[in-house]
Amino acid sequence: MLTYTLRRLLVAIPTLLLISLVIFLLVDLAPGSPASEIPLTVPAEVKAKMIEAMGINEPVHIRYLLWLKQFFWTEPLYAIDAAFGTDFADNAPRIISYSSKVPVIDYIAERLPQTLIVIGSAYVIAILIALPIGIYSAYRQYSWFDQIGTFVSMVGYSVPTFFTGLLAIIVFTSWLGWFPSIYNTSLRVVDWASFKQQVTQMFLPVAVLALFNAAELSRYTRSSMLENLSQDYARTARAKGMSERTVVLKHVLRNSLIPVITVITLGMPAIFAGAIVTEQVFKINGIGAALIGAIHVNDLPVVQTIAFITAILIVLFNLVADILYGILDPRIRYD
Amino acid sequence: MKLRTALLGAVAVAGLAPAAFAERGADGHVNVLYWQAPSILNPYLSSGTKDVETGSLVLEGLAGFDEKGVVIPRLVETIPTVENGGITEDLTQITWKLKPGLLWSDGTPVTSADAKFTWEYCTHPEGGCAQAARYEGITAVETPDELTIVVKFSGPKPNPYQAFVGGTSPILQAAQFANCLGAAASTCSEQNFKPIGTGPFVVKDFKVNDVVELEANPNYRDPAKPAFATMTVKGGGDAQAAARAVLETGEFDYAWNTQINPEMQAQMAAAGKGVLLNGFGTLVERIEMNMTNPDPALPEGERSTTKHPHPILSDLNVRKALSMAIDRQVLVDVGYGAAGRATCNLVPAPEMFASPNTDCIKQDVEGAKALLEQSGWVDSDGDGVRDKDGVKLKLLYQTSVNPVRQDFQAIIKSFWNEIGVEVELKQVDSSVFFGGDAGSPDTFQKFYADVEMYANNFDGTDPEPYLAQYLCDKIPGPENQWQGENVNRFCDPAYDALVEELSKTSDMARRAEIAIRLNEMLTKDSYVVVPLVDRGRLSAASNTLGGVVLNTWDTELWNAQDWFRIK
Amino acid sequence: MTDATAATSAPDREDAPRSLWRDVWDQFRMHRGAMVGLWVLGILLVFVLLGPLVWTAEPIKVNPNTAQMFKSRNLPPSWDNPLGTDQVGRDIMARLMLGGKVSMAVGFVAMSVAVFLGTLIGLLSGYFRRLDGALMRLTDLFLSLPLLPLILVLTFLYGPYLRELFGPNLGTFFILIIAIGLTSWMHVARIVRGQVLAVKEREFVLAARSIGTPARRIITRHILPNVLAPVMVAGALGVANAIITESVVSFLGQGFQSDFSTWGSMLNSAYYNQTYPMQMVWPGLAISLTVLSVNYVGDGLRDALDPRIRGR
Repeated sequence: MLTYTLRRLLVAIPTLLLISLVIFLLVDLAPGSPASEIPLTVPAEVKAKMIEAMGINEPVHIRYLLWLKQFFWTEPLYAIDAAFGTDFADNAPRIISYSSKVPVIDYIAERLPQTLIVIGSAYVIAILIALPIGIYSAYRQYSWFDQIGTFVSMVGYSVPTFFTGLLAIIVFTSWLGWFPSIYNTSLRVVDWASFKQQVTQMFLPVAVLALFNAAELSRYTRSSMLENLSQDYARTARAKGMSERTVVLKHVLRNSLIPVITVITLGMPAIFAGAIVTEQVFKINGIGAALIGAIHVNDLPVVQTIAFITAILIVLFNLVADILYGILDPRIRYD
Repeated sequence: MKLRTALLGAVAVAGLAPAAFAERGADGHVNVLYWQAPSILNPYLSSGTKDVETGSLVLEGLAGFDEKGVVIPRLVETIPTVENGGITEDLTQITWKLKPGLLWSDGTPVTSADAKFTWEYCTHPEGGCAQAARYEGITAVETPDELTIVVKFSGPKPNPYQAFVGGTSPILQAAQFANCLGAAASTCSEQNFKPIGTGPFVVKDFKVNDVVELEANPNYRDPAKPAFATMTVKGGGDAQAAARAVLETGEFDYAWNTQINPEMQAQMAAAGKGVLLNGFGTLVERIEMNMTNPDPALPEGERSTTKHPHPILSDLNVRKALSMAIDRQVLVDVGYGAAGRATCNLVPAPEMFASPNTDCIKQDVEGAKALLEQSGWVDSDGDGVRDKDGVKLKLLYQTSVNPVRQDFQAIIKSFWNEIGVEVELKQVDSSVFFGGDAGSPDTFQKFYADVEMYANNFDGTDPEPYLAQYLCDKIPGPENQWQGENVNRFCDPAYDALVEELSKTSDMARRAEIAIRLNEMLTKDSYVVVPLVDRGRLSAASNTLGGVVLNTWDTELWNAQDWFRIK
Repeated sequence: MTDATAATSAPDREDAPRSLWRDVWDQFRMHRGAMVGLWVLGILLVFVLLGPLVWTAEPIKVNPNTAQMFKSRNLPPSWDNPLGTDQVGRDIMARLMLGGKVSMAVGFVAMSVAVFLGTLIGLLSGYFRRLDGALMRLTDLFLSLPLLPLILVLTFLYGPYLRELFGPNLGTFFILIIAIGLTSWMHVARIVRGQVLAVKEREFVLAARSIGTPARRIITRHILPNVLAPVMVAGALGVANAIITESVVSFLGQGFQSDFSTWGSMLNSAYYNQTYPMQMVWPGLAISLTVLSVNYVGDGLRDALDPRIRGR
């Protein structure tokens, strides 16, 4: 298992390098220019100077190599410095955003908590809802509970979140005024009142996203359970006179959850993708909003870095899913 | 809709008296919403309004502009003029005198060296300073003593209130920014996000493109101000959500640039929690006529150049008829509501520079048709489109992608169809249209179309540089990589001569006279520029926030030190 | 064909050879959700394709008479405008029909691109051992890309360029097709490869190879028909995904322009006109219904094609 993991990790490095090249070039070679964001009142010569100061006029390969070095070498050094108070980085140039002149990594670190709290808790809630529903629908296949559950999950899975989100905003925020319309990112939870405030402002986005994710997960759980319920071992267990409870919750559930856990792990990086639309709709200033904003103003370093970090997460979680599968299912042996 | 600008102004004046007795920080917290979030607080590194205005809470110029566009002192005792000897007779030197005893928010004294440093900072060749234009023509900044700043210009400068004046060119603290000169400017995050200033507030916390937390400046020069102890400037969302947060839900006290459609303006104002404030500056949505031929059949490099005059639009009567056919009030009602008004002027403000001309406001379809007939444009083949000498009266009308502009295009197209003009519409993404890329055929400078629509304005209160854009030698073309502001390719020696005269005149009344004349030469005399809508600022303020005066000449937060809570 | 005749005719033909597709259809009809989905999808297609022939209101142009135009803005539903009118007085039903045509066209064409690419790559890597490693690496690479961010980057940053080349609407159409097609072929490729690997070793393929049939003919005659079924399922679900992606991109303001209607762009402009929430409900409902019915059809198809379930 260990050699397998190490081998996979080694293979991941060239993959990531290739991905970084693809992302960098894709973003960099795009025809737009950050110049279009500068107002018309700024004279052309000044504009040219501003563009030059961003370092855009260097050739592409130089900028790519510089970016790689900054991402894999300089930024970790700064992280170490920040954690231990050392001074390894020695003021080496960092990846700087074109529009706000902030180190991109700091920018992302600032945005991460909002995204993780909202999207992360939506994911957790989705799992908590999806598993019992999926298990029970499979156990009572074709019952009214299963019929309704399947329909609801199909609807939840098919209706795009930006539509449900907008409807929820209009009804609950505009008409009923139950929830705040602006997400307050500087709210600190210190007491009951601020906790309540945090819950109210998170409620709608979490509800909408959780519904969507739960729909998908409960479908997986249901079909995985169905497959296992008709297996011979389930019949054997029943024939041995085990209680229905033990058969379903101990034997069948354990085996059914193996693929579900993989799906859950693989879905983690999608947190970031999901964040794009949800954060846009609910005006949460997280990673997704940062990405969209950066694309709008042609802030290439921010776009490249966020996209690449997402890619790293995908590769990482793919690996984790594979390893988890190997651990959970002894039939699968990689080495 | 009730627009209570005047009323609120009265409240502000009445409210000033109690506020003057108030203590600093007595009114607690104020919430401000900038839906385009501030990304940096140093205006020298960003030209975005959101950044400049938020920055102005902290950083101040020596002087500023009030809501009428008049220069007012901030860090100086008086505004230097030729009369009081602050400006030399030959207009090549201006002397500013700092108020004695001024302190930065960190408690150190403000000196003339800070101003000199600021000039050096912005004019550094590698700094990429966004406000470099404001320091143009300065040969030296001298500091004879701690409180005196002498700015020397290379030639006569009739409008010297540019450097160190207004939110776009504030004074930086030399001590803080000493290591941020030139290429290092963009690496100074700490300085750019938490500048030390003289303004009413200091930055406590800054989150890029998200939120700025501020608190009252303990060393602010007026011990009773600001009335608010803390301020939050929140970013994110869109204009609609921002307007709602102030007018309907009351979550915020002030929202910047709440540009929403007229119906929604009415609906939200009816909720009664706040008012929409409007103020008009110099932003004018206009149609520019191409005086040269953009025909794609011409060889590349000759399209839209002065080599080939426009086959249709060179005719004054056609240009005039196109202007007459437009009902500008309809455009205002559809697109801007209270945030717009019909105009015939390229320079709609300040008042002294605005021409009284209102000829174009009334739509005159019959008059337009008659003009075209008179010029020989008749529908000879009966297809509903006029023609003359085998040339069809057909125009390509381009603009940038923007919902209001697309509505305008559709409406104006129908106006022009009425008078027998065929119109083809084209939309270009703003990133390309305003991108200035010499390689793209779709930039507004290249103007590969017959007419185009966009909005432009000028910085500050002096229209001279703006009017100078229409000089013959500012025509964009292949020889200057299509850089140049005279997109119409308008060229009139009389106009050039008058601009020349303007640059040498310092007498305000005479300057105004010339500017009005120049404006009319472009609009009602020649119809090269067809102004449509004077676009104002529309911001929202809560009923409980006092002292707000919308200012379109400086930053909107120009008098945040005077804001207070109405109890 | 009705259920009754089918049910009675089935035993009659017990001894006659039954084709695979007949089995599949019989099984498919058992899936209630799938049948309802098929009906709804059919109705939506008729609405979108044939609707404009019956309902001839103008979907794009604004009434040139401004006085009339003003009066016809944001109207509630009536006999003249069954779904009301939008912010410049255009009939929403007509716009919904046109928008649906575009949204569905994007969905189907993008999915076709993805299925074509996926099938090609899957076939090549499954059949030719030498290509397998490289192609599967490529597939893995694409699976590791952050897809939605990349689609947005592609449409945001390259959209203007293609719009310049092909005009605003065609350019947007192309960029969406390219962006969605290029980022959704991987699952099809994996399915096809697995299927090809299995079929390749079967006797009839060996027989064909032993009599000297060229690879191209073996693939087209023997292998392709056998991998068609799972590809169809993946394709059906791909359409739903493509439609959602199109509407996400349009909703974020980088799809089709607001004067041209698609369901996504209608949602987007309705978002800026929230005084009339019904303008948002119609396109949102249309997207949801389409995706829902496509998903149900895909579900039914998968069940019908699964031999383990089909027998039961």
